[in-house]
Order: sequence, then structure tokens, then C-alpha cells
Amino acid sequence: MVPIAGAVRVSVRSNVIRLVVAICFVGVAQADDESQRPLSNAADSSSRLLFVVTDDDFLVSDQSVWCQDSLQASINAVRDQRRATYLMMETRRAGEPSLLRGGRTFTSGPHRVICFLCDGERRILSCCVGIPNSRQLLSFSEDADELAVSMALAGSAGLEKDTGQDTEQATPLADMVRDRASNRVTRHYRPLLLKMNPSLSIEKSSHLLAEALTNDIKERFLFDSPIESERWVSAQQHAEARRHWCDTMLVGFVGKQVDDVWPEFTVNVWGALPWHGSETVQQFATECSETLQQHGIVLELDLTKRYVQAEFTNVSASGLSATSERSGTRREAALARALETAQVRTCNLCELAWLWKSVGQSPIQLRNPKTRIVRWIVLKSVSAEPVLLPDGAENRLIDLISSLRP
Amino acid sequence: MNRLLSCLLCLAFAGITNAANPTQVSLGLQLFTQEFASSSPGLNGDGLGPVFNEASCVACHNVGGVGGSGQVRNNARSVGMQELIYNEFEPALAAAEQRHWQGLQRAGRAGNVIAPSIRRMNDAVAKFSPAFITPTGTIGSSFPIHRRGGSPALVALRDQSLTPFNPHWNDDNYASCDTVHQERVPREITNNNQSVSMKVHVFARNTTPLFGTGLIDQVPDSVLWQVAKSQRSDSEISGRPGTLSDGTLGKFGWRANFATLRDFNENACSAELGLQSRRVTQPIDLANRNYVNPNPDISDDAIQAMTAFVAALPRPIRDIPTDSRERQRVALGEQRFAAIGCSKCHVPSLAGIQDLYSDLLLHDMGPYAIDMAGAPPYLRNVAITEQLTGISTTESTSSMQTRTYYGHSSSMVSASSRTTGFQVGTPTSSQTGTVSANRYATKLISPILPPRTVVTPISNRASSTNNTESEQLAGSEFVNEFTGNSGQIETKTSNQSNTIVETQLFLTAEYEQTLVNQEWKTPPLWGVRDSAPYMHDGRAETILEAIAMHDGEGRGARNRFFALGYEDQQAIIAFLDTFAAPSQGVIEAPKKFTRRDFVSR
Repeated sequence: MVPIAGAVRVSVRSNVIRLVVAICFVGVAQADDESQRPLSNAADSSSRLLFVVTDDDFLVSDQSVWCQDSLQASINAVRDQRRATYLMMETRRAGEPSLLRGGRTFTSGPHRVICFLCDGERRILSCCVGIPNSRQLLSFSEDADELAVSMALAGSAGLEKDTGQDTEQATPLADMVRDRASNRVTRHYRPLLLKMNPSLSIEKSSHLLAEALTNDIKERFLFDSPIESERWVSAQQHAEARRHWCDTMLVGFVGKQVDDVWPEFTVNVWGALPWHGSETVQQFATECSETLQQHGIVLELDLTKRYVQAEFTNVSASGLSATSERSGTRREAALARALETAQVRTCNLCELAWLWKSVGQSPIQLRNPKTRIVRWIVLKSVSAEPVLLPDGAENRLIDLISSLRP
Repeated sequence: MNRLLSCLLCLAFAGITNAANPTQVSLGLQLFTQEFASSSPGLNGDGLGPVFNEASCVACHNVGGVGGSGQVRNNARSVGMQELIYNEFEPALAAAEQRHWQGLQRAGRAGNVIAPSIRRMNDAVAKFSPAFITPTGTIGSSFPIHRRGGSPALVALRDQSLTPFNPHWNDDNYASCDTVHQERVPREITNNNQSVSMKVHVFARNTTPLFGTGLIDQVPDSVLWQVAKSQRSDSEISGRPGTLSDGTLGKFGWRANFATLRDFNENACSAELGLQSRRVTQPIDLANRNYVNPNPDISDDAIQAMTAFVAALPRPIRDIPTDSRERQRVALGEQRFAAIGCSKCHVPSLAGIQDLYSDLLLHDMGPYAIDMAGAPPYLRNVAITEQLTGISTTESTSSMQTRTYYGHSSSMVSASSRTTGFQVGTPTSSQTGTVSANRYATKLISPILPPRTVVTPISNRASSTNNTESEQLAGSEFVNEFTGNSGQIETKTSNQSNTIVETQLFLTAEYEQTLVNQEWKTPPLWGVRDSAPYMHDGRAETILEAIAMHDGEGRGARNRFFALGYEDQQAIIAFLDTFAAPSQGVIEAPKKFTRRDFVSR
């Protein structure tokens, strides 16, 4: 969330339009010989933002991410070669918190990363899954420049700014990306480029490209099914693995605000929700903290949404909803009565993690190999030891709820 | 051309040419870059074609300079058949005909008559492409398709047979994996009373870089045996040399099917350009089978000159970064490369050639690397026997070779005889089928087994003498590997009681089962940075993709690569990126052959 890298100057390519733009920027480049620039220039038309989403623990406030050095090396290499534009990096940690893993840091399996290259107004101009090396980042920057110039020209011609907002009609920006991609992507994606449209949701676009992606990576990376293997995750650390897919997907969201796009995009790449402390998440934590000052609460975990890591993927959404109906048996009726008397809050894992951080609770393990996944958490006070209960421990839960009563 | 010659002279006098004759090298360069025509002056034969892939060597060998690798659009293509199912729906008639033919055969009166069912099956297959029918009447598993030349009838036939089932076969960016992964749908031809279903793919073959091949030409066979022997105890890999029928070991070609650079060049002239030499025939136009080239298109001297030029091409270089951090990364990459087992096949140094990074052996690369023009069968054991033959009892063999340039094309065999090997020559029971209640059915497959045992004469002497003579046999190193002889093999001829008796040595060869259609020679990694695309058909655009495509014997190393952290993976790629095409002594390829930048995006 915090811009951490300094400004990096990125120049434009040598086609005619961009040459004109480069000439315009000469003054800027000459005026400032320093390699670092204040962030206040972010809104400058020549500035670029590298928005990086990683699966690092989202609760850790550290600015650096697991691929910090590699990204920085790419940025530095670009800085050495290009002039006239400033490149900043903003990181977004969106991985599972160690607080819910018993304090263990993330160690299993390869890490993940997604990068968006945006203009100074946080509009997406290019994207990749994985770490772009210096050559690739240079190429992305050049692509971004091309689009930025188009947007600028459209603006100066008095046309409506192409913001990539949802529309039934393809925008000129999307057309431009589509034309460019048609010369780059493999035959699997080419016919699908025409179907990509800013009006399509990322989920639908991703669904449309699913078969092409499977065939593409089977051919290029020799994957057997199921594709989602550890090797595939590892391959996706390299920007080239999904480059054709990204080039095709970009048609659907080029020019859109990165903050609106990244969560849904990440879901479709990682196959799980990214962890992030949105406003609602923070609000939930605040409310619960306040409640805990007065009396205990019962947290009912909503595990129907998949978050990063496979530990929760075995949870069946249909199974959970059946349980939550609490109809039928006498025990369920008793539980329903007990829950009516208690402060029960339903929360997802993201909200739970944020709450845990807010109240300074010790790490918990929601699942270990010997027990079922935790369904209920009873917390008597901010400082009290939480009681973790799996599905099927309703009697114990009823007892605990009665002990919560003042 | 003047500019090229001056470059060449620089190259020659700089000592890079490995003491080659500059005049010969100069002529070789001219030939290598010459655009041939069907009536090129100076050629005695019919010149370029009748079918060919390109009109000059440099048209393909141009990435990184003259003699470099080639792009996907220059890929050679071949058609390969994995499986053939043939049905006849008049079984009574088929059975009667078959019985009649078998009767003739038992009585020794069948002669060259082909079994009726086979004849009809061949006719049906020929409707798809007559090229599948071998001169001896068997159904072959593979044949090359040339992109250029040929009569209008041939072009029509090619398009008619290939395009319907694979419209992409002649695309510029066509690589075999397109079909191997996607198009496993059999092609079916059905008539009233017969049907043929064939699993056919169009395979591609990428141009190999020629830099440094003069050094590879000097690698002794004994070194290859030594490396193969060292791999026998390995649990993952089991490289084996490309054992050729003349007893030598292959060091050139994707299938290690040529022992010398000269052989490779000569066969390339024929297969790629349609230039017939004294020893190697040119490919024929199937629609004009009876045409005979009146004379060789290219002389022995010209082949020799071209070989001298190719051998004089400089070896690739290491481009070590000057930045200390980058150097450290490269060093780490080299260490990781060895640690995960890549260097077991990509041997850093072979026979004193530093930074070659190849064992020049054949390895199984897994089912997705299949191509029906297979590796040479693995001649695993030989024995020499002496037999009384009399005089001139052995037919003299023609001096013309018909060796398949892209690999070993086998005859299709019955699926039920898969484990017993296949027969070469006239159609036999291995290609006949079974008669059931309602149909006569045959299923043929491309064999995975080469012949088990073959006996061939290795010396035939017509003169007589009382003295015992010794002679050095071709490929004696190969024989020594098994027999332990010291390199001298005796051929004895004696005169007893005025009767001339000649004994002849025979080589009895035993072949080992290997997956010949999946075996590929480890490509040297030198120059790898500048020789994209990678793999035998150019299916990998980047080094990362090439690593990912390692299967079969390379699977373990590939998995270990992807189990490494990102930085280590990048370090290995950075290490491989230091292997560059030679920077000095290289002649720039003509402008129209500029390299597509595969890795920039």
C-alpha cells in the first residue's frame, strides 16, 4: 500500500508518436538529474506505478515483499536504460497471516505475485502474473507509454477520457490493446480476443479463457492435469508463464482503476480470495473490540469463501449452509436458543485475522492435521484465551455461551 | 559477396578455421550462402529440388549469423503415423483371398505377390498419401513433406491430404507440440467395404546451430561410450549413443543419426535442398516417381568445401557479465545447474571441448516429444563370426544411400507383434490382420522396438592370397567396445589344394529396446542464448519453457528446477544466458533473415 521505491525514469520507444512525447519530456529530464523523485510527482502524466500484489502475510506492516530484491533489480535496470518517465512501486500484501497459522510463517509451496503497471492516476496500462525481469519490465513500460500517449491524445482532442468504464461498446483503448495482442498471443487466445470486452467481468473473461490457458500452458510448460500443481505455481513466478493470458485479459480492464481490479483479478489467478484489510474488515474489528471491552463474543467462521492456501479448500459451502440452517435436531434447537442469547458475529477469515491483530491475540491454528477445521471461536474478553470449537462441538459451545452471560 | 569473403579471410587467418584450407573454406562459404535454382550453372544434375525446404543453407541457418540456428518458420516437416486401423467388411472374401495367398506362400509360389488384404490396405492408405507406402510394399511410419517445389499434382495431393485434418501444418509458427497435444483425432477414410483410421501427426524439426561443430566432429566414439557407461548406474538418466549401421556413432542431427559433419552436410543438401550427391539420393516427387536425376547435383569436392566451411565456423562463447553481482548470480546458477542434475546430460566438457554442455547421447524425453522419424536403433551388442562364403557370394551393395535424414522411419507393425519386433523388407505376417465374424481387421502401430538381431557381412574380399592379412574395419572402435579386440580385425583368405576358399566375417548385431521415437540427442548448450527457439521442433520460445518441457529422463531435473526458489531459478537462467553465439569471425546473415526477438516480451 505504501509507495516504497523511488522514482525511476522510463523513456518512450522510437515510434513517431512517442518520439514527440519524448521530446516533450526532455525538459523534465534535464531539470532533474536525481534518480529519485518525490512521490508528489505521481500524478504527472509521465509517471508510472508498478502495483505489486503478493501472498506475503497481509497483517505484517513491513513494506517489503518476498520478491522485493528481484523487482527492485528490474526497476533499477530499467532506470539505467530509460529516461523521461518515473516508475514507482507500491506493494500490496495479500497473503495468509501467520496469526491464523499458529504463528508459522509462510513456508509451504512457491510464493505468488501479480504486477500491474499503471499511470499516475492508477489506471491500468499493463499487467503480468509473476516477476517481470528487466527486459520484460522495459517492454511493459513501453507498452504502457504507447497506451498513455493514446489516452493523452484522446484527451487533448477533446474526446471523453477513456477510463475503461463498463460499456457495451469496446473502447478505443481496448481496441488498441486487442490489436497489439493479436500479434503476440498464441493461436489459442487469438480467436478469443474478439470476445474480450470491458463490459465483461474479470470472472467471465477468465472463464472464457480457461480452456485456452490450459492448452497454452500444456504446450509451453508440459503440464498434465490438474494444472494447479506446485510446479505451475512456481512457473507463474516468471512473468512469461501467463503472458499471453495477461495480454488477452488486459483488453477487458485496461484503463480501469487498479484498486477496483486487483482483488477480482487476483481471485481468478490464485483461485482464492486475496487477504486484505478493507474498510468493512477494519470496521468489523473495531466493533468487536469495543464489544469485547464489555462482554465476550462468539465468532462463527464463514468458510464458504476460499482464501489463499489450500487448507480451507476442502470446506464445502453447501455443507456449511446446511449446518447453519440449524433445523431439525433437538441439539440444534438448543444451540439456536443459546446463540440468541449471545453476542454472535459471523466473520470471514480476513475479518478474523484483522480482529486478532487489533486485539493483540496470540496466533491460533484453525486447523491441524488431527482435528476438523474450527467453526466457532469463543472469546470471553480481549485478553482471554480463545476457545476454538470445530463443527460437532455444539454442546460444548452451548456450555461456553452460558458462561459468557454476565 | 566481397564483404563475406573478406570476413572469411579474417576468420581463416585469425586461426579460427582450425587449419582449414582458406580456398576450400571460401568455396564452402559461397556454396553455403548460394541460392540454388533448378538449373544452377555448374551443377550437372537437375539442381534444386524437385522438392526442397529452402533454396540455400543460410536461408535456415541464420540466427546469430551465417551457420546459426533457424527460426520456427524454417522448420522442416514430416508426417508420422502412430496407429493404423484397417477394416474390411466382406470378411468371407478377404479370408478366401488370404487363404489362397497363404497357400501360394507355403508352396513357395507367392514370389513378390503381396497379400491381397495388404494390397487393399496399402491402396487405402495411399489415398491419404502414397508416401506411406515404402518401395518394398510395407507401410512406413514417417515421411518428410517439403514446403517448396514439387509438381502441381504433388502440391494438390499434399494439401488435400494434410490440410483437412491439420490446417495449421504449414503455418509459420508451427511446432509439433501443436498436434501432439491437441490433435490426436484419427483421420478416417471409409468406403463401402473398407475403412482406414489413421492417427497421423505433422511433426516439425528445427534448424540446429552449426557453430563449433568442427570441434564436435573430432570427438572420438570412445568418449561417447565412456559417458554412456558412466550413466548406466544413474537412477534417472540412461543416455546411449546413436549407434549407426556402419558401426560408427552419431554426433550430428537431432537424432544423432550422422557420425560426421560431412555426412550431415551431404544429407542436408539432399533432404533440405534436393541436391543429389554421388552418395546420397535426392528426395522424389511422389507424383512423378519414375523421374531419375541424370547426374549428381553437387560434387564430392563441393561437399568437402562446404564441410570445411562449417567446420571452420567459430565456437560459441561465454559472455560473462562484468557487474560483480551479476557474476555472482551466474556462478550461483552454475552451481544450481549442477546440483539439480542438469549437468548429468548437459556435460560441461566433453573430449576436451570446454563449455559444450552436452553428452551427445540420446535420451528419452517423454511422450510429448514423440516424432515418428526415430532415433537409430540401439545396437547394444555385436559378435563377429567367421563363415565360409566362397567367392562373391554376397551381393555388392549400392554406393547410393537412402538414409533418412530426419530419423529412422520404421515399417508399421501389427499391434499384437509389438513386443516381438518388426520386419523390414517385403510385407509379412506382421502386417496382416485377423478375420473375425463380420470383418477383417488389422491394427498397425509404429514400432517401439527395432530389429532384435541382424547379421550383416562386414568384409568381403574377392582376391586370394596365402598370406594372412589384417585390415582396419570401419567402426572398429564400436566393435571393440563389445569384443575387446585391439582394433585390428582379421579377415583370412587361404589357398588350399588349388581351391580358393574365402572366409568372411559377419557382424551379428543385437538391438536393445528403446523408445526410439522419443529419444533425442542432448543439444549442446553453448550458444543457447542466441539460438532460440528451443527443443527439436522449436516449441519452446524461451529457456524457461525449454526447461519445463523436459520430460522422460529429464523429468527429475525439471521438477527439481521448479522446486527451487525464484532467485535460484533465475540464477540458472542467468547462467545459461552467458552462452552466446560467437561474436568474432561470424558472418552476418543477409538482412531478410533477421532474428525474431522471442524473449523481449
